[in-house]
Amino acid sequence: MKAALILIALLVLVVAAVPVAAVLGILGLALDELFLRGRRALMLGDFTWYQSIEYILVAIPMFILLGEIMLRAGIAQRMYNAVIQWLSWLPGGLMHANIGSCAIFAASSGSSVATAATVGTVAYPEIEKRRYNEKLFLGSLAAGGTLGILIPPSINLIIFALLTDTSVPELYLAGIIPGLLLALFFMGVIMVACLFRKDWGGEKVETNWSQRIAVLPDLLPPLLLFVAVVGSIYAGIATPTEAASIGVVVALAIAAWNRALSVEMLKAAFEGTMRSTAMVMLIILAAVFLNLILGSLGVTQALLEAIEALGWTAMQTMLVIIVFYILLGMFMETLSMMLTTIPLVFPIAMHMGFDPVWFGIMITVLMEAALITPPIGINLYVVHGIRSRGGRFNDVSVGAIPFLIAMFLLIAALLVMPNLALYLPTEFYR
Amino acid sequence: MFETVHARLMDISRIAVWLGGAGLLVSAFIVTADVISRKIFNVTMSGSDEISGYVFAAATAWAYSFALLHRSSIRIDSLYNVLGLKMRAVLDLLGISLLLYYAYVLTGTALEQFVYNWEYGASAQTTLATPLWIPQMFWVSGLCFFVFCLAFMVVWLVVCLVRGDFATMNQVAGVPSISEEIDRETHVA
Repeated sequence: MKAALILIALLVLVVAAVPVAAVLGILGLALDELFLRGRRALMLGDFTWYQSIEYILVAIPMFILLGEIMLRAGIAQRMYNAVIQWLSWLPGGLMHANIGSCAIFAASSGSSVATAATVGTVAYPEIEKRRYNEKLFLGSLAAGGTLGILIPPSINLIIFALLTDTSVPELYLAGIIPGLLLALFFMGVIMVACLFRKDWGGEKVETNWSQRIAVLPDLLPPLLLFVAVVGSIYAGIATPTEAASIGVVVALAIAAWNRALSVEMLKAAFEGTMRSTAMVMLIILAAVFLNLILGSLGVTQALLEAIEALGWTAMQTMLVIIVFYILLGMFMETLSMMLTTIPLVFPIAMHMGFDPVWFGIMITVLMEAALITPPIGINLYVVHGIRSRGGRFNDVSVGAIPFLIAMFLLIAALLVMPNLALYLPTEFYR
Repeated sequence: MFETVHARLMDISRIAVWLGGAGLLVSAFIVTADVISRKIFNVTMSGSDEISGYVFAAATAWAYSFALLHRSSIRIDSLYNVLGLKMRAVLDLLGISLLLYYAYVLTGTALEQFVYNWEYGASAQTTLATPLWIPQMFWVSGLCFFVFCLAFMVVWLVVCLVRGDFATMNQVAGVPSISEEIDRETHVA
């Protein structure tokens, strides 16, 4: 009864486009008033203060700031051109460079939108120039961008860690193999498509080994950043927040080296960073408060008992969870989806005996799918938005479908071989 | 009149965001210096984690109003986008009113906490033993400014609604269109 009431209230307000933070916060306050005599609301300020200064959360603005600086550091175009030299000999040409550049950019950025936007802007003019199939090309950009949240560093994984008390370094390690595998799957999709339809693959880019060697220095900045951020975590030198801070300093140095650093540039980076941080934090703080209330009400316990009563096996339950997220992902934005559902779904997965780190990776892949499932998929919007020549939104949605299949393949692989995610964390930490 | 106040509030929040961003950048340098000195020189300068937490809290609190005035609240717009201008305007007002209510309760209790810590001189349970009212002052003032901006927006939207000026409502409080959103996300020249 309680659970049904919560769900209905949540749904109505969410569908009415009320800011998600307000929905979660007011729901928390209302439940507190109804069932806990308003006692928790009295400590809302105190509770929010201690969440606001939480050190692990400082990693979020740091990673956003790092991404904002890198966006403006003038490395995207050169990096893309360098990747072209190395990958465009494959059937499907530049589309492999799209995936490769996204994977590399993802390794210095924690956001899928930033990844898709950055690589997409640089790559878009090539569709006409080299006569690519526009749909598949756009799809490769939307899908490639989603790698931003799976390949470390990832903001989504930090949020997952916060909600479930899981280790960020373990989650980051666990994301590497599935992330690279997904990039390979994407390239496989492109290759298969272009072997069947040679006309989709565009014109060849002429290259040779001396050119390939010559462009290598352009790949250094993202590599440097990856080593500084992810390397310092695994060398045991830095916590995720410290690594993100080091990343900001390195990104600033790269921008300065490229002569892209200026007061105007910094102001714009600050505005972008603080706007995104405020959007994310307002929801996170409200969601953590709601979770506190839900915990006090025993909602999680009731849900577990209800699931238990169904008598499903672990695998059946996981499949239901997966279908649930794919359906929800068609309509909901990923951050709100994670913050509203994980506190309820995570205990179920743990109860069924799944590994918390593995589950984090599974959820992240599902979030990636949500980013490119129509009608609501942020990456589809982002890629559609960079089309200066315009076109139908459907082009991007249709073009992303083959890549969605690749994601489903990865989900299946993770189910059958949990070690794809768990191998690295086990080697390092367990 | 409303336009002028709106523009001034935007100016204030923009400056606050520059300061907050600069604060985070400085924190990043302090934390980096801390890591380097710890690893290379074996000297621990404690407190960089605590300070960056305070900077983060204050910078974020002041950024809420910036995000609000730039219509950057996360909203699920599947239904919203197919509605007419009038319905959308009503939902904009509803959304901001509910956000005001939540922010009001949050800020009220935060303010009480701040006053309590100020009067009793409570300090953090850390090596720095920072008197809590100092960082909380920056944080609470940001929250208060956020509530003020929200209240201003609600008043403005109600006035617009009475006048039947739905276009303005959508312009200042509606969900940004895809192309507006993209302009923000793509900064690559």
